[in-house]
Amino acid sequence: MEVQTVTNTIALEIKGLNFYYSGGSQALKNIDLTIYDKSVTALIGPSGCGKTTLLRCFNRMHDLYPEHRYEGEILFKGNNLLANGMDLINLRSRIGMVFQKPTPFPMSIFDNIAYGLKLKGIKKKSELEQRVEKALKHAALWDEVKDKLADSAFDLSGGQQQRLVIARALAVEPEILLFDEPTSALDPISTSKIEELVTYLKNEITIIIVTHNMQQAARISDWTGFVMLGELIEFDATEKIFTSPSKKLTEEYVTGRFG
Amino acid sequence: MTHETKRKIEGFVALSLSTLAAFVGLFWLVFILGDVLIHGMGALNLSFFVNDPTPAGVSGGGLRNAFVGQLMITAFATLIGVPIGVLGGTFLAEYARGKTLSRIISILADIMVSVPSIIIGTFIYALMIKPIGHFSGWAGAAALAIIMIPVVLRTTEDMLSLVPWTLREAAFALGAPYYKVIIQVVYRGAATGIFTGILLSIARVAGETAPLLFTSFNNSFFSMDMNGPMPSLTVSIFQYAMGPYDDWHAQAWAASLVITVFILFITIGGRLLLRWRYKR
Repeated sequence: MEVQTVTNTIALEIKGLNFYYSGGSQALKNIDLTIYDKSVTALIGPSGCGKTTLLRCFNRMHDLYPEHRYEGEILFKGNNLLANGMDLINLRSRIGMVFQKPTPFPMSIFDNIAYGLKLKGIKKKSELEQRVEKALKHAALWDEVKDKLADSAFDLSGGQQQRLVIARALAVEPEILLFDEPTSALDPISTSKIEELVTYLKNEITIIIVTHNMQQAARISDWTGFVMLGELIEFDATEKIFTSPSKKLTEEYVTGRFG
Repeated sequence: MTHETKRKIEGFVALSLSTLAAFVGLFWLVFILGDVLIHGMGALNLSFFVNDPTPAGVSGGGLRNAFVGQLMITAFATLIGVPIGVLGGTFLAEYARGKTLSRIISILADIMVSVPSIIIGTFIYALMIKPIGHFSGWAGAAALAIIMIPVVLRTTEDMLSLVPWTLREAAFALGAPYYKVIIQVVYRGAATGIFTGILLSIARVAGETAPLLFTSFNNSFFSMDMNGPMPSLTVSIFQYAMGPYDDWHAQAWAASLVITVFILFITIGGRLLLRWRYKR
């Protein structure tokens, strides 16, 4: 594992974050967390602990549903992205997201990738073509689909669909990419392809990944946060979390004593 | 009797009953279609399509006026009913999803679907015919549109609800505003279902007679004036079938065949179009 030696610039700074779902149940409790630029941060923890809830705060996905409430701050390039006037459309084009199950749109492979670009107002065909190709190459899918860009995205396998969705997210050139258990619905070969991709992508963008799979967190992340019952128990370099965590709970979880 | 033989017998009985039921249903369908086909074919000729009706008792003539009238009334009903139905269904499934208002409108629409069409005919009669004092094609189109709206609305709502939420979230996560998510992603995902709903609603109103009797009524002459009474195939079938002349009976059979084939073509054509669209 690569140890982060370069000076770490900060991508996101979470300060005293509380989150409440409708009905007032508190899902996140006083989270303080720093996400470093151009690195992979893994969020691990037992089911229902709040790691996905935390991830969905970063692109304000919770705003799609009524009666949620945030408290605290998430600083992104000096601005609190939880602020009321935040432009969510702009935010979400800068902080992308990949979901647990592949979510190809019901359109061609090309149109899937071009979708986000068109939202950004890019209309010129030559530029679209060039950027679609770049995104697909980026996501290591180009060689498999270059001859069938006009085919429906549903014709791809699950693993290919997931890489297509990653390509779609990459096409709009986000600064941060959020992964919500991106391989839990995939076979081992597709999983390792996605993992390779994540490792390669961190040279350019910041990645935050929620995962159930501790080996995966150990393999691909630089930093790991352990979340339990809505609290961030421990956050440190991945190597430290998995070899000599400072909290007993963390040790019990990573050694598989519960979860 | 062992448990296993008992299960086998039960399975056999269930299979036999359902097969029998399928054939009983199919028998009447084939009987009706065959009867319409045999009687209708005998009365079909070129004159039927290109001539207007002759005075009662005079042989020859056709129902050109009724074809045109039927097409115009149905087309305008579709133009009025489909946008309202689709947009209403979109409101229920997207903007008002999960709200009480949405559920109330849904239930009302379900009730509207099963309201006898003659009631809608008399309603439009009171609303549009009585005040102006004469029958009109517009009133006919309005009555058919009212029958279409709840059908299209409910199918649209159901089909949109079937599109998984994660697909919308994925579009939102790319920075899409809600209206673009709906138009560009959700509609595409639900297109097959919505289109089928629209076709079914057209097929449904194309065979309606009662609401037209009270609204567009009939016209023995060729007319493209939606402000006046307009002929239609269904009302013509009704009047000709009740009439005393053999000529009329034959033409009623022919009209029945034509409208059946018309509805068949809408359905088949729509499905082919969908398949082509999906492959693209």
